[in-house]
Order: sequence, then structure tokens, then C-alpha cells
Amino acid sequence: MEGIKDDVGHVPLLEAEEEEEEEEGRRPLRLRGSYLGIFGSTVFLVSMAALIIYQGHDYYDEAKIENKGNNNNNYNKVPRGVAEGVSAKSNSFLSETTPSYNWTNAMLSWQRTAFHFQPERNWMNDPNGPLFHKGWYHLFYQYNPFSAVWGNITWGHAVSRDLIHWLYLPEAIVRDMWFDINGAWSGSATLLPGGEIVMLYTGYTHQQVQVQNLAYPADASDPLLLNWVKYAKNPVMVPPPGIGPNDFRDPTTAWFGPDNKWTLTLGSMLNDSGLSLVYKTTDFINYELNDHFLHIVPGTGMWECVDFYPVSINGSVGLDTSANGPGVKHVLKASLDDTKLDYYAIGTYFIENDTWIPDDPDLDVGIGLRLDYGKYYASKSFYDQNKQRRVLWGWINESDSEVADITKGWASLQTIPRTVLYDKKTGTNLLQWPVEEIESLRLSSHEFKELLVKPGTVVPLHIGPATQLDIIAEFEIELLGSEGIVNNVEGCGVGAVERSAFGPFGILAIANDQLSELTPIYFRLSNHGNGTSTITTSTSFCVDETRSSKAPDVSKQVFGSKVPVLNDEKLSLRVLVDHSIIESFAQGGRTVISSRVYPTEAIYGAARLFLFNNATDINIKASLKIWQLNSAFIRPFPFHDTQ
Amino acid sequence: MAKTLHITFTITIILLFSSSSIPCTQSQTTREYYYWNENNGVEDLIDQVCKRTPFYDLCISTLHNNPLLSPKSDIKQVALIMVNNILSNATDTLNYIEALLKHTKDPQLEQALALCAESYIPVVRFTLPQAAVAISQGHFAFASYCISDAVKEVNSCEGRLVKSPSDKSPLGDRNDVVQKLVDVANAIIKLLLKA
Repeated sequence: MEGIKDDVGHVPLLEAEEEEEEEEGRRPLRLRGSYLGIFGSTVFLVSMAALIIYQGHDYYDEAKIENKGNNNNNYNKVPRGVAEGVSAKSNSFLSETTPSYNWTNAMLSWQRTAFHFQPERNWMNDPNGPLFHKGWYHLFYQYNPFSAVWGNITWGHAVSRDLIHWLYLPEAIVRDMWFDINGAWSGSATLLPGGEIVMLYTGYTHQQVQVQNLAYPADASDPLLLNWVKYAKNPVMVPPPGIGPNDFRDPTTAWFGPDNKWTLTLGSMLNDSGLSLVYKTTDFINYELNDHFLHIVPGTGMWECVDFYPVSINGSVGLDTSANGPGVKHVLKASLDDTKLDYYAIGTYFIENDTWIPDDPDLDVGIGLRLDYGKYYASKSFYDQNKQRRVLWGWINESDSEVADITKGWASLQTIPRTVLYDKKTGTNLLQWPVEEIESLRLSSHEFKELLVKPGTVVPLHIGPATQLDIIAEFEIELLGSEGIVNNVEGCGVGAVERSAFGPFGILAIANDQLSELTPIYFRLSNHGNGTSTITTSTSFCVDETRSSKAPDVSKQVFGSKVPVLNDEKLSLRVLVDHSIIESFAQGGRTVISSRVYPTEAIYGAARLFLFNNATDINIKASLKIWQLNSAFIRPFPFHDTQ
Repeated sequence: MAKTLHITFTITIILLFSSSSIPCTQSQTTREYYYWNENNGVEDLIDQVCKRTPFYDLCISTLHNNPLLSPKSDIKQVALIMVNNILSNATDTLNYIEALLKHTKDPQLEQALALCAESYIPVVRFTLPQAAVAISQGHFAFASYCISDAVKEVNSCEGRLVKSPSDKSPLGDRNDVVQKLVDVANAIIKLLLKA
């Protein structure tokens, strides 16, 4: 959404015109015939004009504070969702004493993104059943049709030719049977060799038990897959003995094996150990539970949204979910209910007995690497047979208050879809990268070569508007003074203000001229001698939200992690800025951080981009290419459009 | 005084009603009722339809003497024929692009052609066939969307191959013909939407 470029914070123009119209109506009536005639026609004229102007009335201007029921105090003791047996779907960071900020319409409207998928209004969470079929990419998603908080969950639906320009379609799966009346929760699609599509999803029954249900397209020849049929004898899987009725959800895409059966997995838990159950089927109606798990990791708690797929160690193309053989490793991923974090591990799948072990037990699922070190959850991948790549979706929740979400009328985004590849250079990481189709949004660009940034300085980058950007940057380091400094402060520190010898340095996004609001995205290097002459360097990649907004009622954390940097590599990053979301990728996508920012001043024309170097002992030379990005014009499918 | 005011009032109302007929959508001519004399048959139908497309001659030459058209044909059948015609043209163009790709030694041209192929492949595999099915099922809005999509993809291909007015396209006028045919089909489907 293009912002209204008025940084004085005026109430949008439309509201002023509304007042004018009302004034006309309040003029006193004079009961002389001819004056009445003129008056009548004038009012008629004005209302005709008003009717034509307001054809495209944006619903934001109707935003009012809605306090539903007794929700003057919106700080629920138990976060939404937990009582129903899913992970917390509301932010519990706010205490009862956090003052709520006076958000203006301008600030709230600005938060809406230009090219990230989000429905027109209301709440969204997990991405569901992504697939490519007959020329269209499909995205389904957990959706509340009634409000901007979690609840009443149905499957929203949207299609796109290119994973970027989405068109909204009617809801695909609603809660209308006993086996999903309390929620049509997450699930996955399996594409059968004959072209049929099978959808498995979790239903929350009228008795509050989590079950798995089968659905399929009503009309296989409909390219838009508008209508879906639920199998009459659902559910097809119910919690097995020993598994709790609220610990059984989110079935994966199935894969076909040498036993001529389809295998799939879904997450569960036993005694605080997260695990993945294995089911086999030949017809997607009857299932057998394996007696051993795909994998189990103690202490990780319930596994939601399990994802399991092969990657080529050659690292050049994505693989169909059923692929296997030499040169293939398998990724197991889980969303941890307890911490709301997505973890993955790379390992080996033993198809003979359907078990999997990680390459490195210290980096097992739930204790090792994360797909994204920021605000990110419930991710799901699919094999895109159109372009032979594995594509990953992830849900980005809001970090502001529930009251603000209700006021602005919406909550949550999806990431830009990312390709996933095995990083053959390190052998330990996956590489995530925004799909190339996002480049179709690129407009004008600015290039900067080897800009020198000295310690303790900030360099403005004059690129025009700074709220919709694709930034690619490389950094070179110049040691100042004598070598041999050992600086073993690791990690992200308390943020970009914490200076050390070799960092932090990077960019300041969504920052204003006065730097009273800013979001640093940075590297921090540290080296440690270990008593001998060898010094090892480690690099951390971080995003610091602590000064992203003056408002007290938003979450402002420092996110980050170490990122492997090989000897022959420069430090590189890519950042997608899209209003209230920033997606940051380091070293070609080895480490990714998604963050939400809710500035009060650095909005519209006041937002800027800077380079900064807060290190003490190095100069930075930065080379950047920065594109303005167009809106993706995500809108309803033009069924009745005659244009 | 009162008389003047009455006249002003009347004129205002008249102006109001005439301005309210300013259409919110495109051309007013599309609201005309289509009719042709069944005795004149096919040629009259073709003429009436092609007159409302941006490339009259191309439209006529595509439909003229087409064995699939009969005096009982309607605009829907005309649209179907046009879409299937584009599909065969686009398929030929795609084949030609792929043949060129195999033989070219110029890396820049190779890249441009490869991207062109990427534009044409979904058009040939999905977009145009789906448009044809949609027309026969009466889903004209979806067909219109598909055709507009095809327009975009074909334009995108042309844009890669011809960067300046003096450039000659390696595809000759194949791309250009497909572009024009798609514009014609677009116009015909819009007739269906407005009918």
C-alpha cells in the first residue's frame, strides 16, 4: 500500500471532506420554494459527487477502537489458543501496566505491507497446503473471518501466477462438520502422480479432540480449485493410544516409498519430548501407525507444523518430497509450541524403518539451528514442480498489542516465499533466499561503491522513499591500528549501541533523520585466541528492534545468531524492507532474521536509510545496490471485473 | 427572479442526469446490442465482431472461411476459435524460440530467448488452454483474466528481445502476430462480458 506521504501526521484527507459534507446538511432550511429548489439541487449535486469520489473507500478510515466485551483490559492471562490446545497466539509480553500508545490512523495505515501476503482484514496464522497446479500457485492459510485475533479458524485461499502477485479467493475449508467445527487447522497437500490433489488437515472436533481429516478438490479441472469436498467418513486419523487428544496435529505432505505406500508424519509429544509420528497409507483413507517415531528429542515439548523433506547435497535444485537416494539428505523441522520458535536439522532418513537421525546430535531438532532468528513460526515448505525448487512459507505474527490489531483491523503476514537449498559450502546450514519473482517488483535503483564508514559514524543513503526496498550489500573491513586485538565478545550484545572492536556495523532501516527511531541490521565480529597463535573469527548477524519505535506497547527485541563466514567470502546481506516487516538475509541466506517494526515517526516520507559503523577499531567499506520495490497489488480475484 | 431560479434549477437537473450517464467503465459503444442478419450469416457476424477489435484485418483474415463457423455461430464460438488460433501460433513461436536457443552462439541473445521461453511456456501449457475451457463453460471473467495474463507474458518476451526501435526481433514478426491476436481475443472476450 502506497503511503500517504504526509509526515506531519495529518489525519487522511478523506476524513476532512466527510466533515464538509456534514456541514452542508446542517445549514438551516429556509422554507421559500425557490431557495428550497436551489438548496435541494445543490445537496443532490454534492451527494452525487461524493458518491462518485467514494467508490473506492478504504476501510481503514472506519477504524475505531472496538473493545469487544469486557476487553478494556486486553492483557489475557492465558494467551489465545492455549486453552484449545495450540501454541499461544497472542503476545504476552505486555504487562498490565504497559501504557498503550496513542496510535493515529496514519501510523496504523502505514504498517500495512505492499508486497507481503496478507488478507484484506482480520487474523491469519499458519500457511497451509501450498501447491502448484495447472499454472497457479495456491496458498491456503489459517484465517479468522470475524476478527483480528485468533479464533473461528477456517482455511483462507489465494492464488498467484508467480508467488508474488496474489489474488484472494473465497474460503476453501470452513468449520461445518463435527470433525472440524472447533477449527479447521493446519495441514498439507500431496500431489498424486495422476494429477489428483489430496489435502490432509487437522480438525478440532465438537468434543475438543484433534483429528486428521481428508479433503479434495470438488472439481479437478478447475484451475482455481475454488471448492473442496470433505471425505464423508472423516476423520481418517485419530489420536492413537498414549497420545493426548491435544497433542496430535499438522500432518505433512506424504512421500511415496519403495514399499509402494505413502508415508507421512505429524508432530506430537510424550513427557515433554517432542516427536514425530509416522503413518502409512495406500488410499489416504486407511492409515497404519508405525510403532516407532521418525524421531524424538527430549525436552523440546510439543512439535507443531512438522516438515520433512529431501535436499540435494549438490545444492542446485529442489527435490520432490518423494526423492531419495545417494546425494540426498533429509531435513526435519518442527515448530516448538513451548518457545514459538522454528528449528530444523539436516540428517539421514532410513527409509527401511522410517527413522531419521541428525548429522550432528548437538544440532538436533529443537536445540540447534533455527530457520529464522526473528519473529517467525509455523513454516511449511512445498516442492514446486513448475520450477523445480523447494519453496518455504513462514508466518510472521504481529509484535504490537492486541488492541492495536483490533483497531487497525488486521494481524499477521506471510514471509516472501523463499527457496531452500542445502548449503554445500558449509554442509551444516540450509540457504534460504527470496524467490526470484520478487525481482519483478524492482523499479529504480541506486548503486554505491566502496563507501567509507569510519568508526562511530552514520552515513545517509540518498535513495528517495525508504519503506519498500530490496537492498543488497557487501562489506569489507579495514583494520585500524595494530593487529592482534583479541576481542571475544560474541553474539549480538544488547544491541547496536554496544560497541566493540569489530562491530557492530551495517545499515539502519526505517530510520528518521533525527535517528530517534531506527532499526539497525548488523554484523558483529569477534575473534578469540586460544593461547596459541591461531585466532578464530566468528561473526554474528543481528537485528536490533530496541529503538525501532517510541511506542511502549510494542515488542522490541534484539534478534540474531552466529553466521558461518568462509575465508574467501565477503560479508554480505540482503534486506527486504516492506513497511512494518523487515526480512534480513546474511551470507546468501545462511542466517535469516524477520522482524516487525512499528515506528511512530519514521513513517511515509520521513523514513530513511543509513549506513553505520559503531565499531571502535575498524573502518568499513560498503558497496550496495538498492531498488525501490513496487506494490504487488494483492487484491480479490477479478471475477466480476469488466475492465 | 423566481423564474430565473426555476430555469437554473431545471438546467442543473438536466445536467445532472446527463452527467450521470458518463460510464464508469470503458467505451460506451460496447453497450450496443449486437445483431446480425442470419441470412447474411457468418460474414456479417465476423464483420460485427472484428469491427470491435483493435486489428480488424488480422481478425477478419483469421476468421474468414473458417470451417468451424456456421450461420448458427455466436460470439462465444468466435472467441473460442480465436483463442485456439492463438494457442497454435504461440506453440509455433515457442518451438521456434527453442530451436533458436539450440543454435545461437550469442550469450546475450541466448539469455533473452531463454527468458522469452519462460514467458511462453505457461501461456501455452496453461493460460490459453484454460482460457478456452473457461469460454466454453461461460466463465468469461476468468477467460478475460487469462488472456490479459497472456498479453503480459507475450509483451514481456518482446520487451526482452527488442530494446530499441531499431532492433530487429530474432523471432521476426511471430511475437508481434501473437501479440495482436491476443489483443483481438481480449477485445472479443470483453464483448462477451458486456453482453
